[in-house]
Amino acid sequence: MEKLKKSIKSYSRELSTLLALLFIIVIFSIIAPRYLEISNLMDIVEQGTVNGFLAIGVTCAIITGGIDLSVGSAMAVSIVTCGRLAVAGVPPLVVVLVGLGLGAFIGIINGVLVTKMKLQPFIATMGTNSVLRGIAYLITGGWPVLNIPKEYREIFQYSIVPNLRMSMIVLVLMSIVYSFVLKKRKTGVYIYAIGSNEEATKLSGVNTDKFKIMAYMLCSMGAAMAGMVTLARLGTGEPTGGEGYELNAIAAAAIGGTSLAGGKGSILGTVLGALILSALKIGLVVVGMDTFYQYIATGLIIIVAVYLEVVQQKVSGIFSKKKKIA
Amino acid sequence: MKRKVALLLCLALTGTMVLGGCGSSKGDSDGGEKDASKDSQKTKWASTDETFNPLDEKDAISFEDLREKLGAISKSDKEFSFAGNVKAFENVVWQEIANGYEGFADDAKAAGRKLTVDTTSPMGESDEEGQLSILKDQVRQGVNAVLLSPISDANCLPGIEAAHDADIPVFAVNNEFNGADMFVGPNSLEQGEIAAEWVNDKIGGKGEVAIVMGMAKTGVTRNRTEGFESWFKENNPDIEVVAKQNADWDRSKAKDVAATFLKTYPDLKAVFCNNDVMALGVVEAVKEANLELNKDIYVIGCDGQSEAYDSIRAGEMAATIDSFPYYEGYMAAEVCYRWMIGQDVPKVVFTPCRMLDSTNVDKTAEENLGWEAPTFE
Repeated sequence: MEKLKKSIKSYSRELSTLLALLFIIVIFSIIAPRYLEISNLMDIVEQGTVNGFLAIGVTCAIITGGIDLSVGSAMAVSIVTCGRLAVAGVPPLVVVLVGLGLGAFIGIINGVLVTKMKLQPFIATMGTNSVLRGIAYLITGGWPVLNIPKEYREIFQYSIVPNLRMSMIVLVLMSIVYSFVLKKRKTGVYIYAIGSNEEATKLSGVNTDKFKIMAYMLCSMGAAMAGMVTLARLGTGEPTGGEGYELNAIAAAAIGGTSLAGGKGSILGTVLGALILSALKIGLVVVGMDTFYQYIATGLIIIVAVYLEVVQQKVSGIFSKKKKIA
Repeated sequence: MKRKVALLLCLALTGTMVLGGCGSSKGDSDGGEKDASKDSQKTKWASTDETFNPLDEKDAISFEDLREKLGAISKSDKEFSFAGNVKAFENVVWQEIANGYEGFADDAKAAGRKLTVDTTSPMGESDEEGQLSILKDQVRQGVNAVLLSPISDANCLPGIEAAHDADIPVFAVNNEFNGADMFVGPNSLEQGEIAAEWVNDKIGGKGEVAIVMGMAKTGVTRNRTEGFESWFKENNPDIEVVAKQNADWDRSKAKDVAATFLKTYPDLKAVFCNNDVMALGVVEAVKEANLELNKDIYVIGCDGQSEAYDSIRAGEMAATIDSFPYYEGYMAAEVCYRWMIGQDVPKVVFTPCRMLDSTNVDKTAEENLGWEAPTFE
């Protein structure tokens, strides 16, 4: 019992995000009952996957107290590179491995810029964002890569049971791996520590550069995965893919409780955050809300969701104080 | 460690080069000596303070009518250099428009006219400042006219004023802006209407249809959507536009929006998209919903991109409204040349669009347009 209480407490932030998600689903279901149909609910997951991959990656970078604005372009490089390889007849699984390697490589470059060259993460990744976009255009000469073979698309698009696609399973698996690394491994402990207090971590003898670079590597690997899933979803690889997606990914992380100041956040929270965003988008389409109001609604929900965290912290602060007095 | 990183970087770069095809290369043209004598026909330039909307222009004329009215391109031995300034060469449409400018210049040269066109583009459709710098530089070079397609309504304003101060006319191609001395391009309201009429015939005059819109900030989005909706309101109220949503010109977002449409409105008969890229995304959503394309539902795009052509041939996309970017560029250069040599050109010239479906997708652009080369006196 004590254990259960403890685990509930340690997941309180995720629980409140989950409640917010359920709240959104209930509200839209009352307005439009068909919102609650299984196929629609699964659509929320399906349409949240690409952002989910981007967001769990960007969460790793944000936890170190940094940011990665290059994920949208990293995604595009992954889309066109993997697209070209798949069209050239490279076996799908090899394509995925190359894609992940490419992501890791991009992440290492970002990490080196931030650590060894001591650039501000915001500026450094803004720079790589532009470089990577240019590379994506160069790889295809500006044209989309067409006719992605079915074998490749099936790895992510295959439905195990109706509405349950492989891409969702891959997201769950990748989230588990990322969670494991962040919560259970030394690497994760140091990544959080760097975000909370980089100087102190360094002084205690930790090679902070190494773990920061690893965080950026995890970040770009998420982006590469997002690119590969997009390629499979659309059957066409566009060098323009992922343009502006970084902001949605950062929003998902923030809604899920990742602090942009660093040191705090979780993969589970971020995935829930991504689901909130897609639940919202689909809800607004289902109820037929006018486009102009959608911008306002989306913005307001992000603000409210993040404000909830502030309130929650205050409340839990009061509780813990009371306990101490008692 | 550092050496390893450097080595990896080199490898990555070479890899990119090997993988990558090369970007577009643009034929260069020599500057040409400028003819100092300005055309006497117009001395006053359009004001940048007045809102210019080609659709409000009363004496607007279609390109076909203009040719009929003016006949051959009248004699002139004046020497001109035009500057083309388009939104972004990343987008194939703009490369085609620039090729069209060159196409007319080549034909004019072949007919003994002295005309050069040099086209430049900024770094992508978000490089608003870059486009302004290019425009100002073109004005400084002292070209005789600028064919401008600005990224936004306002980003080129200071450059347009600078051009007018230097007595250089600025012509709007494809995208209108305040201060344009003339507009040449497709009528985007008409594009929506053409699509609506085609849909009406295909689905037998009854049913539900939906629209996937582009970015709300551009006039093209508003006009194509409005043209489509208003055609049904005026001509056939039995067809209802049950949903319209914005997908930011993005294929993936369009697919998501359409997936929700298809579930929410199971009787949907047609989806009109503001461009082809989004239509191709919608096609993917329809396939996943296990509906039969061109039987249960029709997906219509706009622009006439080559990928859309392939999709129509494969029986997936139903149709696209093609504005033939190469010929649009050609016509724009021709109309501007006529204007410069003093022929009587109205302020707005609409270039033709055609509905392309499985019946005419394999015909050449010349056939579909009924294209004829201009005659020179």
